[in-house]
Amino acid sequence: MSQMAETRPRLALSRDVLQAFYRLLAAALLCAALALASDAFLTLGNILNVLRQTALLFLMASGLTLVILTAGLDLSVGANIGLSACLAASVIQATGSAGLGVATGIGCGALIGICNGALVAWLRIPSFIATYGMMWMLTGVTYYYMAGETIHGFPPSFRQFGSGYLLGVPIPVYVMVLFLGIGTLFAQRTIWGQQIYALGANPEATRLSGVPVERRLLLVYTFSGAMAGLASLIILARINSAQGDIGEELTLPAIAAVLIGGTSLFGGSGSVSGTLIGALILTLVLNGMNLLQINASWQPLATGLIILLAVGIDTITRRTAP
Amino acid sequence: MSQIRTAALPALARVPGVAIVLVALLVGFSLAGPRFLTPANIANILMQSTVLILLALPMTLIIMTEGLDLSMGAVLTLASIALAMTVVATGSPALGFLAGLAVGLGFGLANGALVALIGIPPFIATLGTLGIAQGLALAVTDGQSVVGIPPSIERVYSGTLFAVPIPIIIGAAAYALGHLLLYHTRFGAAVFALGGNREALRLAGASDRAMLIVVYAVGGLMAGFGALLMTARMNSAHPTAGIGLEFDAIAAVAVGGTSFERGNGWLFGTLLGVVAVGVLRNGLNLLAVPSSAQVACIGALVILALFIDALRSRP
Amino acid sequence: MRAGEIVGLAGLVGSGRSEVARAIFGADRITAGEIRMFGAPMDGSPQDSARRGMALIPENRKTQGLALARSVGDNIVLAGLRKMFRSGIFSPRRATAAAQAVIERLRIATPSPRRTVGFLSGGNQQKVVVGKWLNAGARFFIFDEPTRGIDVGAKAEIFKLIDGLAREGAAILMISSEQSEIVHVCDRAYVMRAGRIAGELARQQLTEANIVRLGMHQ
Repeated sequence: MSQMAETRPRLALSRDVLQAFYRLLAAALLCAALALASDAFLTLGNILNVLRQTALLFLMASGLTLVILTAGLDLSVGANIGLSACLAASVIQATGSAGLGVATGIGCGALIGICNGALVAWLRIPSFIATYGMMWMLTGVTYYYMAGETIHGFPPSFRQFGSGYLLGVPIPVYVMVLFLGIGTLFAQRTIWGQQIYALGANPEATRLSGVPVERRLLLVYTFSGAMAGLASLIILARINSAQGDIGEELTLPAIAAVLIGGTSLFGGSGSVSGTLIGALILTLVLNGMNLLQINASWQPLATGLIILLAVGIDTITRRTAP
Repeated sequence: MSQIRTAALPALARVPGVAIVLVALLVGFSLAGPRFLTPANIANILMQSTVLILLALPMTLIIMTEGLDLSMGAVLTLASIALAMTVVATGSPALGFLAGLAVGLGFGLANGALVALIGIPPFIATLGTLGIAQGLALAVTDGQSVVGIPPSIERVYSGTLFAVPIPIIIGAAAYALGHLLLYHTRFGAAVFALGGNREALRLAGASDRAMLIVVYAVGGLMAGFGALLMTARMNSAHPTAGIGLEFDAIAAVAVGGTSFERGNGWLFGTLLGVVAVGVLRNGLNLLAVPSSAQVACIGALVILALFIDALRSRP
Repeated sequence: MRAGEIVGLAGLVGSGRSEVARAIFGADRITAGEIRMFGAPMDGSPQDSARRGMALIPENRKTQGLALARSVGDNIVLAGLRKMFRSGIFSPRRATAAAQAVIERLRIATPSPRRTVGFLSGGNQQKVVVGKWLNAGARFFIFDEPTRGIDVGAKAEIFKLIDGLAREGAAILMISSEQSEIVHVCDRAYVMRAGRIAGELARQQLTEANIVRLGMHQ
């Protein structure tokens, strides 16, 4: 498998930059196409909507990116959002305190993340099955807890998170930029980020190099859970109500955003900024479907197809790598 | 006892596990209420488990190849819609049944192709096809049920043959066929190899890819079969009817002792697992536990089974 | 083991040498006995071993020694990240410089530290693994079949490398199935048989015949 002849020089840095560029190009082309296809696309309202949706999707998917970087998967993201949102909503309603609600949401998300991490890191249960079981368990608990009811009406200070604007830009976008920075710095400029990339590329070699693999896995799942918790708060703030099925349709789009953004399911390559572009592209596709008045029922199908396409490309290009 | 490598004798080391769980559930629910341990209720449990057994059997094979099929529930739903719409349109139950089988087989082959030919990890491939099947079901029916199904279909569920309900016969036949296939044919040997030792299969000259495709195709086909039973039972087809069935199937396989990582499989364990899941659901129903909490309990059961499995495999 | 000595671990395939190596390094759990380094007992984990200056160059470098999809530089700095960047903040520039230094020291044939390590030849890949531990400041190296899958010319380079490490004061434990290698390179050797140490051979007794005799004696 080792070749002395270099058919194409693999300079890791420029390849990533090139791929990011292609993706941005794809996003730009999408925008152009949508602008041509529908008058409603370039309106201020729609653009702000796209920005807000992208921000939300990115926040959900940013933690997931780190998990997928370790060659793992967190299928419980949607269910996590559901439970965190409902618990946070109850707390806000009961105490009137937005601060407590925020703490509850993020705390619940992080706790779920810790459970996932423990199952994967210490019990060595494959991540897709552990988080799959967790997903159903959380969904069940959420429905049981809500018992079909809806919680409405949150204090305006809290609602600002989701619906508010600052300098004309929706607040979620600022949160998105903040976590884009945090996520990117963590992944590229800390030793833990480097260790996580190595873990994804080869867990055993990384362990034998003295990296505490279990602790890093726990870290990424906890972070993914906490980000889900954060995202749930923004959703709450936006729609101003909570019910049992909040998180249901969110797992697939989150995974899709990460995969479109170039992070490989097989671990070891990808980036948080890529996920941002992936979130943008997916949001544009779904937004376009809405504008073209395609029945919303087709959206899971489109997401599914996109995931398969992204993974297919990823798998096939992997075949030519070492 | 603790050092026995379970790879060598999967059945022996696992007999306690699922059997204990099943007995515990039976005892627990019997004590919890008088309506549980009646012949009518037991019969009810068995009848309701028949769709699940049709799914759990091929799921066992798939999991033995270190794979997973998350799309089974959605494919079953889509197949039932295809079946119902075809029967209503043509008046022929046979054509409807074939339509359902075709849908199931089609998705099964698609799953197999994605996993075996392109190399996409099974959970993501079937997650994608799940989305596609679900989307198609919703879009084609526009969210509405398909009704007006002739009674001939319904009789598949309610009818009897020699005083044995037809679904039970179908379930038993499926199990017998599965047992034969897995333990007494070369295909079965290939399935074992696919999980633990793919290299050996290739070296022996068999096509591991073809076998893998067949495994997923069988899964899809059985989903089509299950669609018949489910449509017969409900006498209608609804686009969200079968959602989540794959979870029960996976739970049954996990509780039954088949491991997700080492290519060990125990078909009888799956059968016991199916009964366990059926008992759990039935018992919780009788205790008026809402369906949502039931799902949570099954999820907890799966995690418990995985936990025990992980502990057993640690040296 | 003492600084500067090269100790061999010989024996037939299946005699348990790799297992011992992994146990010493902490990759697998120990059921009896104790490992001490510079007098202090070890925790028995790869993390502790690496931190204290122990290195394992595994038998299968592709699956256990390297992250093939990552670059040469990434692989070289992996074990030493904690030591190089105490605050946790990673500097790509410093990492590349450190990697470049190792590349030059070991004469690894690669156009740049950014080359994907999977494209290097077997011998150079092995050098990257050793380089990883040099960068981490290891003083005790465990080599498990260091020349497996490496062409003849590169083999000599690896031996020179091992010799150089010992001369700089590192202690080496070398596992090899090639008796000639053990005799050629090591100062003394242990021979294993069926999971236990069958005997020790000092410099004067270190011959291929003796290794075979101890390894097979029934």
